Amino acid sequence: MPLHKYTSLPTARMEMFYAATRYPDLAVLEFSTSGHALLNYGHLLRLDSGIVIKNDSQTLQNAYEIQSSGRPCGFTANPSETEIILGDDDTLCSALEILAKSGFKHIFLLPSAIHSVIGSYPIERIAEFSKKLGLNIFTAKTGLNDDFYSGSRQLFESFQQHFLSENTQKTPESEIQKNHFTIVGGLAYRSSWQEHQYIHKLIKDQFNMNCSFDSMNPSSIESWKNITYSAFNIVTTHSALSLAKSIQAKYGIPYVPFWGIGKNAELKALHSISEIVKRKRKGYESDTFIIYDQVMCQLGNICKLSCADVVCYADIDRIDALRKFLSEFFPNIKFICSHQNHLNVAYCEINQLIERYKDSDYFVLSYDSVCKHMPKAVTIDYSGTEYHLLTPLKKPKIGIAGAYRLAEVITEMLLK
Amino acid sequence: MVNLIQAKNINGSNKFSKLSDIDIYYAQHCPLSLICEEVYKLQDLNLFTIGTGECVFYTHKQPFPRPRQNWGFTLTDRELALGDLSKIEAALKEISQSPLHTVCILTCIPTLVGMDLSHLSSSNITYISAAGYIDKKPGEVIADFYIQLLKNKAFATHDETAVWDNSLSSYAELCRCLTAKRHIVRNKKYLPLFSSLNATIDIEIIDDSKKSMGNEYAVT
Repeated sequence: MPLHKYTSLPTARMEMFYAATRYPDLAVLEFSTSGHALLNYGHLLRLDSGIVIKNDSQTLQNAYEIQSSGRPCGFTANPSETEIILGDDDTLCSALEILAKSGFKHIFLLPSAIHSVIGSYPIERIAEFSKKLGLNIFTAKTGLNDDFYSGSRQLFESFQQHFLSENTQKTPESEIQKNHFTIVGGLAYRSSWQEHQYIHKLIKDQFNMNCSFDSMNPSSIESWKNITYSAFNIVTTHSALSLAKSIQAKYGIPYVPFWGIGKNAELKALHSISEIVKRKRKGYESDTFIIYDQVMCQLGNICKLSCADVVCYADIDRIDALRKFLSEFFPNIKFICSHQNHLNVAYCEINQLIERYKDSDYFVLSYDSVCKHMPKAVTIDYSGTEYHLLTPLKKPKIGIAGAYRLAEVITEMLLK
Repeated sequence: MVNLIQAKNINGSNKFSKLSDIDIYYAQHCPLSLICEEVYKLQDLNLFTIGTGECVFYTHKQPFPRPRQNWGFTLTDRELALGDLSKIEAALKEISQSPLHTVCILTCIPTLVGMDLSHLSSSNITYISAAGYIDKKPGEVIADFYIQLLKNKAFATHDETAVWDNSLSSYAELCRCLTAKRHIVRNKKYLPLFSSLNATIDIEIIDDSKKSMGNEYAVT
């Protein structure tokens, strides 16, 4: 539905912008009108260790600031009216020259809405600029109205194409490979950084292994090559699944999906890792599972007493995780996805969903911007349009920790 | 001239760093952002944004309390390729039922494709074009907004004095002030409105804007 009466979700370009600006040595250049990226996206407030965006709405000279581990890398170059009409690219050319002079070797040309309408920026021209300036300039495909999820998928494909080319050789097996793993996936808008940190710690505790590349917290764009010398690859979103499969096929590096919620999902992932690295995991503290089972038993009792009809509306990763976790607690639960997906989960546009359930008795688990319109709802994710202070930073939504967090908010709402 | 702006490290002293000898402008809000803020400040207006997903997402960040409406319309192939505006027309008809006046902002893409909604004229809706690629200073964008918003309203009908300062916070208040014959203008953003009115009718305007503090946007 193109009419948005209540709220909206981020677009493919926004997801690409946020994901790409995490790389400190990758210049992200938006060649579009008035700096969507520099200004408007700056209102997507996020408290996340990867990116800090500050917005002072009191002043006109609104600063859009990014702090990643190195230098900031978000740029905008605005084509003039004449350039748009005549298709000139003088501004773009000058902007690329400035970035080249300032030392950037890799430039991601963010797809723009304008070019989605008047025609995609010609790949041949980008190749010409790359050759002339001696830079690696690349872009990603996206349509005018593509959703954030397809943006994430397209960006991974683009990175794979440009940083894991056919010529990239698999590093011979070594001690480094035996003791390192990589993580790909995550969605920039929903603070997946927290989830990745949880996985880092879990694998360090259980197998004493370190992470050599994390797509949510990368040290360099060139560290993509580290994927070729890791023992295994953790995948945290469906958007990175095809990338992981391709890495497995090309370099023989197995992948382990890890987006589930609860004890079983966490143990399944750890078991897969254990089989790959042929090591026993260290194990949990003795009472971990006793406490977990007791808490989940309590949650089950409360859910049964409530007899609630439940709707869960989220992105495909959350849906896939919650489908396994919540079905035993709520027999009458419907799962609806916020974007088109390959798992055949029913799709509904966010405003239509709000319209359908806002006056119903359904207990809704969804984005914050959906929940604020519902009489009984629990926020399980953030859409980016609401102003929430997301603290503390280390509260993941996956594994055992994610299950506890979800149990807390569900029981609180049901017992109200 | 290249308008290339780099975000500076949050700990840095300057907001934007200079990368070359080419002039680096300070970052400016896009016109949508400027108009959205003005609409938000006037407490009896609805907002209807027509544009891309980013425009609609961005305007939904502004929390419009009930009964105000903040709607957005993302353009699809239906509107852009086929020129079918029926869904926009239906949405505008629906929002025009609201007791509040609506400001409909056409952003870059509808302006670029020459979208014409003039045949949908309604006394309850004001259409504003806010294309970011058209070279306009922020003060000019805001001044134009007030000219468009108040252009067909009755003015200079009462022998009264109106003060145009930062305290004006509703569309009804603006319309009421416009009916006065003498106007003390304390905020520069209203001056172009009176320049446009003064050309057609004799009204008394006292420009008090230079003494006043707190003009957010300079009109140059």
